[in-house]
Amino acid sequence: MYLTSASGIISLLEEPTAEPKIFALKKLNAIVDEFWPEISEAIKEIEILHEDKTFKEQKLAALVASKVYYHLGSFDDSLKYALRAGNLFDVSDSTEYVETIITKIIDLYTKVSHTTIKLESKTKGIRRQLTGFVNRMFKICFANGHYRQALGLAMETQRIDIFETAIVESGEMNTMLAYGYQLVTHFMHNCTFRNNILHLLVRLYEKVAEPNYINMCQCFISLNDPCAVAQLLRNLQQSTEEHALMSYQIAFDVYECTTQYFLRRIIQELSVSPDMSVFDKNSTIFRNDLPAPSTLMPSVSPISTSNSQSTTEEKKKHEERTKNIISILSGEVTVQLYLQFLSRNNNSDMFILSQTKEHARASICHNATVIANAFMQTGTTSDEFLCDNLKWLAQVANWGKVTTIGSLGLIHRGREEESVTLLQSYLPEEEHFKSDFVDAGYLYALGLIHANHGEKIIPYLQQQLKEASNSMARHGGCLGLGLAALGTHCQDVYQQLKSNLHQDDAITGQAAGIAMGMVMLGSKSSEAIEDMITYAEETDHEKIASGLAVGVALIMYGRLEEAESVIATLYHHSDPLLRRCAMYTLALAYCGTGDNNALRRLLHTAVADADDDVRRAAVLGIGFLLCTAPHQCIAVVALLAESYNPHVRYGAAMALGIACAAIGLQEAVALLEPLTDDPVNFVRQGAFIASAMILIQHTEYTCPKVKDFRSLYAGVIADKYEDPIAKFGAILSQGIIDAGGRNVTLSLQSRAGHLNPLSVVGVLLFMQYWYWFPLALCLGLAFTPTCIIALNGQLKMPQLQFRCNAPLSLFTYPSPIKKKKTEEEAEEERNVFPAPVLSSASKLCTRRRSWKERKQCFTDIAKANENINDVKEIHHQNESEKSNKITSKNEIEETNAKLVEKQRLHRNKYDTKTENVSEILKHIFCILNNPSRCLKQQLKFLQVVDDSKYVPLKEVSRGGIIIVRMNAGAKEIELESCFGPHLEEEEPQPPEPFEYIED
Amino acid sequence: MVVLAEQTDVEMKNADSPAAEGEAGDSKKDADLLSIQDIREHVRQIEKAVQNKEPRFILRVLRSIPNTRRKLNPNVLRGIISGFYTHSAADKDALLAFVEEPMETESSGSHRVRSGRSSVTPLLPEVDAYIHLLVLLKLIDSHKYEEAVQCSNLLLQKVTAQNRRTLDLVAAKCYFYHSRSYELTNQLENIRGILHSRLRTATLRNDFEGQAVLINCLLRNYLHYSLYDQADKLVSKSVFPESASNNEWARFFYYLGRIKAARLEYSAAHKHLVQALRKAPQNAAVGFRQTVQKLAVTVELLLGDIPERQIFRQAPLRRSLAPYFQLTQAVRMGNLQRFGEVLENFGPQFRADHTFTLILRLRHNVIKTAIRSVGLSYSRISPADIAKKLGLDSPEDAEFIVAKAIRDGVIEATLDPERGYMRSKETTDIYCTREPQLAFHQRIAFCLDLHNQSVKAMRYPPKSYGKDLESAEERREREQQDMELAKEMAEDDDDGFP
Repeated sequence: MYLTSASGIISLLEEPTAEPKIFALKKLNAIVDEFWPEISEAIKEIEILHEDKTFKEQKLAALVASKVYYHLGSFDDSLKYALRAGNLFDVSDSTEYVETIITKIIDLYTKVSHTTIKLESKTKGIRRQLTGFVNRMFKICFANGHYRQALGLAMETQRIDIFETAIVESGEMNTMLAYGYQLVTHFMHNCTFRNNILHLLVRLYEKVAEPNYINMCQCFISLNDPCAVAQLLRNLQQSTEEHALMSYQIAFDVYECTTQYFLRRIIQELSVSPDMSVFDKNSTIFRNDLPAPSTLMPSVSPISTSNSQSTTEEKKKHEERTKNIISILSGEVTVQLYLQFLSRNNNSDMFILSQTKEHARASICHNATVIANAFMQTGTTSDEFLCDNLKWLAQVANWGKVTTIGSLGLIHRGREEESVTLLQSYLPEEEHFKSDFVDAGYLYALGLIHANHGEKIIPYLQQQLKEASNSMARHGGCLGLGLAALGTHCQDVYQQLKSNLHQDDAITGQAAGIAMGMVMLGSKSSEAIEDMITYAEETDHEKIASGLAVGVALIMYGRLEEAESVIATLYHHSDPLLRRCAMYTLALAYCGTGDNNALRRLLHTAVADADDDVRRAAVLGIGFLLCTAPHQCIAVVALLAESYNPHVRYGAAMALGIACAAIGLQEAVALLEPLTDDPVNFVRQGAFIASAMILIQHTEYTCPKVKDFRSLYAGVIADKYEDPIAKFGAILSQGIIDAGGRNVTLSLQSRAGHLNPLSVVGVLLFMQYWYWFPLALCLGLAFTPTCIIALNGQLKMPQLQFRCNAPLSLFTYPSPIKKKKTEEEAEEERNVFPAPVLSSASKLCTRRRSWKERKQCFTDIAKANENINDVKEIHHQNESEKSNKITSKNEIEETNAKLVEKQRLHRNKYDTKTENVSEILKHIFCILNNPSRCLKQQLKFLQVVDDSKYVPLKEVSRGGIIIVRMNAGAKEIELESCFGPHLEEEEPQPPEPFEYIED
Repeated sequence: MVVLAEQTDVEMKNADSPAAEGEAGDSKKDADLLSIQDIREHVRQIEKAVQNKEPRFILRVLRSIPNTRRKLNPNVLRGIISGFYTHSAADKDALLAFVEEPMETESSGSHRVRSGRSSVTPLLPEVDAYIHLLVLLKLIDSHKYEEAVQCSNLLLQKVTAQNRRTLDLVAAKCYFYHSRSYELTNQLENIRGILHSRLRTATLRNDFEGQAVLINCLLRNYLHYSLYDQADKLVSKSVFPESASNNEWARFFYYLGRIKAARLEYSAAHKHLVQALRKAPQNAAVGFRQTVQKLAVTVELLLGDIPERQIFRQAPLRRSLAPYFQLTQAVRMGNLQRFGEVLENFGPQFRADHTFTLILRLRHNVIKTAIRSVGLSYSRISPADIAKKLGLDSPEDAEFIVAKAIRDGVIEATLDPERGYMRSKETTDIYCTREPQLAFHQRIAFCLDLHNQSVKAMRYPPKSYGKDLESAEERREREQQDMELAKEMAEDDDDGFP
């Protein structure tokens, strides 16, 4: 008989004896899913049974109650009783009820563990129950081998102990540690807990026999612990040869993503280290002594006299290694390598600029052309355009001169040895030409050359700033000093800038405000903050206040919740300039974290503030906040891009530019496209600039829109009726999209995935061009060369090849623009040549769409090409200029073997498309020689050629500077010729102008 | 550009109007092809909906199910199944097993609907469920209930295995017909457990449509076995989703009305039934409206009100409401004799309408109405006269009944046993009380509610707000014209003053 009502069973609950009650409960437990509406009427009795201490099956009652509450949709009560049901609640069950309650419990536990500080006695009980429960969950996780889930859960619930066990028990320490590190840096936005976990990670790394030193070092960087890095480096370089090479690699990575202050501390630590003479080459020791290195080191090694000979040799070797490391850390090597790379591979198209110059009539367009030239030639040392157009340049007046001379700094960025003489050679000698603006530009240019690497120039700049007699020169001096001393936390520089600020001169003060922030970048120095905010509140000059607004934000860079106190005071300030400061501070303090709370505040201000500047800054801030999550940024900004307020639209465009920089996302471009037709001039300007930031270094294959945008820029510039403001944007865009001789990219993240402080500062300052054009040049700081450079132990470039598993044509430079022909010529050409498109080329285009299809290509070719020799020949042609024939031969054989194999698999499916084999084959992969241009999008196809003599110390696909180790068998080192002009250029560049100046 | 969401829909379950399968017999090949085309179009719509995560399109397809249903025949079904299930022969055969062999031997079904690469990829679960649902509908329509049960079991398995929000709407339909096929084979009680578990899942996943359908199925299930108590508890313990479709709301209100009426809460029942009538589609679902109207009339009578004559005059309702019309007349006149006759004549029909028990309760009302009319017409009357008028046996009986009526507040009167008569009190002017105000308030509240609901039901076409704005081209043109105009004017000025 089918049961139609539970009332009979429910009435049993009122029986005086325990037996029928237990029976009833068991029954109810079984039928509760169907009769919960009825049972819920009797929930009181069940609860009473649960609370009755004399009743045996208290827990069963709790379970039934929990299920009833679950069906009633009251999950809190359900959860409460489920916890009380204890073991009767079967965690491993896979019913919907159990799953739902488990998620609720975990949510609650996470919430409880985040508010650990104040616990009343009542919640303590629940907490205990929860902990017990969650521990059961963890046990099940471990039992089933779901270590990653456990790790994530442990982080979410802030259970360091579980975090540790999850990593230790997983059995694959290195991958788990890397995973843990990734989790922490991407999803943990609480400073203290994050640091705790990082400490734990470091401790665990030390236990591993052969840890991943690179990741370990990343932990130290995240912890902001220069001493530990120094210690690690020292230990490594005192160990085996390979470890020494590893230490070089780490040093390069460290230089790339830390501030000058951090580097200086490491160098100090290394050079002071007392143990150069006394060390033990027993490599086990260095691992053990990590916790307390400096005390252990000197005491261990009694050097026996017989070994003295070898030790002196060793000592020499280590001294040399230390010297090497210090030179890497000081950045000399990196700067030199990049400078060489950029100047040798310069591939900018001068025709674009000269075309632009023709149309640039308004003074701001003139200005923009100069800036665009600086972007295009960043670091390439090519001043061709400026030298060719001296007369045109002479038109500039006043602050335009600062921009023009400052642009020289960007062009010669990195030429630090001869910076002063080099720049002075450009300056007019005649006394009457000299002006205060020229001085300002000169100092600014010096700052740009030495940006973030100003050890040597700082004293000179300080001297110059002290001697400066007028506000313009002081302005340039402050900016230059700030750039050079970026992130040094240097007190005397700071004091000097502060005294400049206190002169209460608008022009000087503005620069000083920014420069103070740059010097104290990310220091959270409360003294500096107080100085700056009080001054910003007192001053009458808007310029100074806006400079200080940027400065304060820079000081709070990356400090997460530690910046909250500052933000709280400024967030509701009556002065819009200071509210703007709050926006910048929010953006930089949480830069790249995507923190929800910060995002909420920015969005609120973006739509609610009364001041346009504040709103624009808030939307810009979203770009910084989400710069590691471009897709999210697109989703957040999509609606803002359709705002009625043009400032918000402009901000939205820029936010996209920042967050999607160099990624070339279709969605982002699609959002920007309507903005390029916006009725408001400056919105169009923003859309142009943002699109260039997104499309930098993209080819038609990686982002088909690129061509449209290039022609759009040119069209806008040539349009007679277009507003100069929009033209300004288009001209800058031309500069950005072809920046650094088409060899640099724009990214706020370093290659290791850290935020790159230099880039963040560069982009933020660039955004200030809205108020002050010369600051536009600062975008140059955010450009990073896209290259792959392999170095050996002597920090020289060995001859070595990389293999890129994608056709080179996907990533080459865009073809130079041809001069417009006259009508007749064009007509003639049209008659003579039909459309110059090869049938094979169009086929290629369609085939290249996806990697999968490219693989299909492989099979096609193989089918057509049974004869291996043919292929070989083609390859030889392809690489005729390369010397290393043996390698390629072997490789070709190998690839052909693969091809034949694949062919067998696919023989039946594809029978057609067998022509043009050789044509296609050229595009399948390409060989890159050691120092080489390699786009971001290209990196993932990169690998070392198979039988190379060298082994890279980190994945090649990271790009940048990579240390390689020589294989045991290999002997010869052929060094690439590092210096000298680029061979393929038509004519060698003349030596830089040089003048001997006698003091 | 505001479009009201269309609300015409769907046969309601009570409207088991004769299915249109008679036409299927003479359907020609062209018609079949056309229906296959239609269904292909539906599938395309569903695919679009899944891609854009826009349930509107699926809704559109499901709205046209009654039409599609009429066109279904074995030929069409075979054509669709073999056209779409190109990826898996097993699935295809499983479905084809439910479709009878086509009468014409020449096969029209072998044309491929899905071509090339896509024929290998599995169907979207939504499309799969939709086609399966069509097969099930055909089975129900051709009265093959046993097979329908099997088919719906398979379908439910498919649906339960997925957790996709885009599937929710189709799944809701599947639940309904699953329940329906079990009802037709009279084994409804077996699926109560499944319905409960699906309801829980739907609630957890915020699947509002599914939730609504499942609650309704469960209520129907309980009411089928007259488990009013269970049904009432379910209603009081669960929340009917606000955003459920109108049809589900209508059903829900109807069931609610039945439950409330059974539990003697007549005014609540009446309110719900009126709402059910309002929510029901106005042009379709005649059967549903008939059923609801029957119950509504009964409840109104129970409330002591007399339904308006107009109700019984409406063309689609006239015939089915005829017994109730007579019933109303009996009650209105307070004629117990006639009431008895009506009961006798139409008893079986009332039973079939589930209103018989309620109508039995009307007897008191008949008497009460009679007493009320007596009270209105006589200021003083003796019990003996009342007994005569009402056809009661003795004056004592009449006296007792009057006493009860006075206590219940049916009439305002006093009994004077010594002098042997009943004295009616003067009627008060109702317009002096708050009654009219309350009545007005009720109407205003109703109107406002209606307005709000229609606003909510409006839909704005996406991204059309920018249409009226000036495009960039137009702006350029305008600016250029302005500039030229300015130039011309400047030139004119020059000309004027040489």
